[in-house]
Amino acid sequence: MPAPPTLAPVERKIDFATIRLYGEITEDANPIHTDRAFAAATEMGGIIAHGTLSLNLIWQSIRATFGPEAAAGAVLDVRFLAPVREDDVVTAGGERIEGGGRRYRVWVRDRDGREVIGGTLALSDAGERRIAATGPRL
Amino acid sequence: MFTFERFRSGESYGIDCFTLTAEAVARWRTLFPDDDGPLMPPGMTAVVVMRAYNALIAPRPPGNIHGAQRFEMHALPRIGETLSTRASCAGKELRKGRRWVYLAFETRRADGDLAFLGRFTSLVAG
Repeated sequence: MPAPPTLAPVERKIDFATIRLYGEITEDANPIHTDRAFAAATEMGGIIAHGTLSLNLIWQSIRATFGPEAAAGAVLDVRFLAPVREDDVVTAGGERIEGGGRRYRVWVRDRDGREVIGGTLALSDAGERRIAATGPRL
Repeated sequence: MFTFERFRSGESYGIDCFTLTAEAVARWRTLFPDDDGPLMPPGMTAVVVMRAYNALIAPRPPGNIHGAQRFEMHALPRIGETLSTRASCAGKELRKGRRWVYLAFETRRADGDLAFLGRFTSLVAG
């Protein structure tokens, strides 16, 4: 599949219920995500969402662009640049790096366009072959 | 307690096993309904790594911050597979008064094949 110039954007509101449930699923009991008094006393100044919660929007953007098998063989390398706070609306997406083949500059941005996650994605042409090879494991 | 002082570069913290049950994936899909299909949603790499982090590198001081993350996907496991994740310390540094720890996670399938690698950069609180 030829590499499109951009990844399909994926948007999500990160409310407190989402943060709490994500913490339960990942078994992440860090109080900075759920304890208002604790979080207010930290450098963050209040509750922040798990970085990997917003990071999943990049995986969803990859899927929306290339399909469910594209993640196999992918290398995703990001920095968490700014906190995502409860009720923030964030959008994930990316642009192909010129001359980079199937490499993308990826991001998650808040409603003001500020980048909260930034990094790179390298997709492998071998992704679909890897999935095919896993077939007999069913 | 896994404070900054406790971490040693190159140190291994053991292996955690996690079965990717249909129930675990169903819980994930309550949050992300679009992540359907017979394969593990790639975002669930965070579930596997966090569970290993909590099982193998604990207790920790509260308030650590996730600074960066790298995932290298080799294969997407299928629902029902048991995965084993080895955790180790890839380094640490004190930079501008902040305590950074770099952790490496290597997740393998039941037959030993590599599923994915994770590198987790944490700003530790204590």
